[in-house]
Amino acid sequence: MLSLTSLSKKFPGQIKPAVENITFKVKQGEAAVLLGENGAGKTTLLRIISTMLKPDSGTCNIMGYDSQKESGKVRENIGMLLGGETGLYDRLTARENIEYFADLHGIPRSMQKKNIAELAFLLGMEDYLDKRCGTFSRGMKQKTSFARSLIHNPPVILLDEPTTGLDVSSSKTVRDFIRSCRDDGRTILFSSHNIDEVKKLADRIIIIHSGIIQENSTLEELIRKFGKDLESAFLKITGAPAENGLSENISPRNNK
Amino acid sequence: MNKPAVLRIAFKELKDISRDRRSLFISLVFPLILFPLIFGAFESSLLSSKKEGEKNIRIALNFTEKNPLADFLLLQEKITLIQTSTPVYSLSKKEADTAVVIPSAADGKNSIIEITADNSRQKSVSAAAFAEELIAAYLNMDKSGTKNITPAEQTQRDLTESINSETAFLIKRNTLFPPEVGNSMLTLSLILPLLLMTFTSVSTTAVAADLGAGEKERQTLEPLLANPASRIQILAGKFLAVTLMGIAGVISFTAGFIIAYRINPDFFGTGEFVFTITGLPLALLCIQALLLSMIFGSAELALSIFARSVKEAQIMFIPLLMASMACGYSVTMISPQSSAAALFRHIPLVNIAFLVKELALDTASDAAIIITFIWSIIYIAIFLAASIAYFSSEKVILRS
Repeated sequence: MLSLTSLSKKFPGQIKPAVENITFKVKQGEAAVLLGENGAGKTTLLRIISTMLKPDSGTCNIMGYDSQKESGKVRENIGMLLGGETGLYDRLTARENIEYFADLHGIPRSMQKKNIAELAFLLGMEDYLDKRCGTFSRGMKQKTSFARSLIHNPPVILLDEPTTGLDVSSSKTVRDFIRSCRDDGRTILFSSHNIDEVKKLADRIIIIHSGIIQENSTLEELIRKFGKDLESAFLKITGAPAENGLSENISPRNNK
Repeated sequence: MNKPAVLRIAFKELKDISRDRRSLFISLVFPLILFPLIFGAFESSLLSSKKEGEKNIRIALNFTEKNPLADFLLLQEKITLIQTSTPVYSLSKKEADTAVVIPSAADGKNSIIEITADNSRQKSVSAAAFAEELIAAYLNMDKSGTKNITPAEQTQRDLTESINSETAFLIKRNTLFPPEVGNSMLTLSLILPLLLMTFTSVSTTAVAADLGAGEKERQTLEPLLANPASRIQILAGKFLAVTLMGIAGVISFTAGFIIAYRINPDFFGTGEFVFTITGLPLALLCIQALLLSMIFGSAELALSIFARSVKEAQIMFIPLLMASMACGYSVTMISPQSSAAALFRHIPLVNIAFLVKELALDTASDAAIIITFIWSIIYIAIFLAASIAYFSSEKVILRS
């Protein structure tokens, strides 16, 4: 289980907090999404939850452990996958990358072998498990990162834009995998700005804008409250211009 | 590609570089001030060493009772006479700069005055030559004289007559070590500090940039930090890796050096070369090399963690490499016996190069070894503390 209470963080030199007074819970077996535009505070929030950053105020609790006081225990219980660029050691093989992180989690070698075989099968990466990552496509890298993040079988999974830049089939594999993790009873929090992905994966949608949570509810509730679909609900909540609603300042009419 | 395009690209690159203040400082300003600073600092010490060398030549002489040659030598400026029954032993213990053994009267005519130099020390070789000149002048002194002579000259004349009236003396020059050993020691004392400083700093550079900045650049740092391993553990692992690579690099450099010598024995230009460092000095030298690897490893690790990219880390290493080479070179100009030696024991890196030189000559005192080792450990602690501080700083970690 994952629980955040009044969490705030402001970076030095910034006028506004990166995240402010964030409070929400994600239950066991639930997949929640942090939906927001670029710079909304999604990654900062995930970094705080993963103990990489310290909040200025508030608390974060994972599986009963406080992220500030028991950061080591928190890290034992999370699997984190960062999107954008997938961080792998190019000169190591996929297996070696995964084994390295398994070693850091203190998993015995015999169990590592079994877990790697299972993950490789589920993610369809058996063909390149013993090849060096430097030659991998983006999808292969993302799957390897996934396996690396989950090698210790964590009860809480944090994913930062897990399908960004992936082709259709890789995206589907990753989405299916996330769904199977949720069905296994794991707690999943992922960030995204992909409406389609959110609709397919999320049980709970947390809309974040300028570091502040604007809404925290299910897809059905959001549509009921704000409009015909998630996209229009999101645009209404964040105040962003609609696709055909260009600001007057940048309207072609003003260029005449 | 046409020329204007090439020029445009070059212009853009130069403009880009000119806006990188750190690169500019390291590429242009640092070299500009490094050598004036070093030579400025060493000029005063060199002058003081030189003056000291001219002033004070310690001659061990085998006469313990009153002796005319001893009296003559005592009249000379720049001489400190050590009267002992075992002058060569005093020389070997570095208590004297040269040893003079005068035969007793019982040795009869055509006796030989033996002047011994410690041929592993430049000052001793000079001191022996100076002593030889003095004694030769003393033996060949004109006995006819003139009326207007000073009391000192009169004393010299009387002494000459007393020693030189019946016996014909020859002067023989000896060396403390066989020529090849002495030359080798001298060569080692000159090149070893420079080579060790250079090898160690370069060996660690190759891997250090990747350990911190490389993690940021390939975006593996965040997954790594999300693991149960603490930041101290991660740093310790990286520090161990860079230190081991540094040691491996030094061994590799040394092996290359030996191979080069085997291929061309005139490599050092000194004829036959003998590695003269053995036993305790060799063990101490290995410990110092290990500490040096740890110093460079920790320093470069700190810089690498601070840097936002491998390129930036490599730029930051340049001053460290230049300083280490300059320090290795600078000690070739310092005599371990100079009064400035005490000061150099406290100057970072210079003190280490200086100890290496002393170990090569087997002249390192216990105090020098302890002081330098303590400083080495302090440097490592400072750089590791900096690494920990950088690794704990969100601003530095997210600097990319």
